Amino acid sequence: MRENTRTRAVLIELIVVALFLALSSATLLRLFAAANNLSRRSEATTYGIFAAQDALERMIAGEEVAALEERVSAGRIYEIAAEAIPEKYPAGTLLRCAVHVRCEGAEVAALEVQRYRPERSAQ
Amino acid sequence: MIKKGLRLSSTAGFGIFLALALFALLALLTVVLGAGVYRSVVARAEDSHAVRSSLAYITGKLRSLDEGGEVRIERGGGSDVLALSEEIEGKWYDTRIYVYNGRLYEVFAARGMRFEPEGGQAIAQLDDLRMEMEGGRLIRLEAESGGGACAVRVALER
Repeated sequence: MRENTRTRAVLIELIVVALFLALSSATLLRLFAAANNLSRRSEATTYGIFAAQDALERMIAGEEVAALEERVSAGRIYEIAAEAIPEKYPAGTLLRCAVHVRCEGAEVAALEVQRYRPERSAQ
Repeated sequence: MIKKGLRLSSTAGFGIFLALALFALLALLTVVLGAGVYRSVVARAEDSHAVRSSLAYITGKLRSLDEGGEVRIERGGGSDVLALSEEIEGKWYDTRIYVYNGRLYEVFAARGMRFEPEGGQAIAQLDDLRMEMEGGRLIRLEAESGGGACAVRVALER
């Protein structure tokens, strides 16, 4: 009888330990998934910033940039929305450029730049 | 009584074995998964850092070039070489930036000196760097490290 009670106690203890480990494992798995997501988001932000910088540099160089472009990197689609608003002044043009990059439904990067071009080089 | 005690013991032994096996399996699974995730996160961070710092470095170099400076793209050491020339006290000097043996290098030398890729200063880890002039006002840089690549254009201020 005493042996039976002791065995049962050991079994219960082991089950409790296994349950605790299962809970810990579940927490750790969620943590790993979160770390992986964070790393992927960071990668998307890096790519997004470069894509935004690329669009802004093209605008500054006077190239035509489409209002909406799509690029694919590492299996993800990036939507690059670019906008350039020129404001005429007597001595030149102030060009306000803004670029927003979206990936998987979320904005990953946004850059804005203003550039003043004196009249002689405003063309 | 003895028989019953023995039977209970063997069932309990099997239960204990099962519990321990589950314990070990879950622990192993957690460790393996954790190691995999850690490896991929570190690799991604390293690749991203290498590409980002290399492109930022080259962009900074292009921006800091004096107004009278020249920008050229050459071939040397099996890769594209970005050559930035500037005049200092009446003499021309070239700064060459290139990838050699998995690293981004820079070498500063007087014009006319023989270019030797191994003689440069290592800046960062980088697998490949491709460069291309676009229409005289833009330069396209594409850096690659590990599995990741990033391209950016830089407007030349001249």
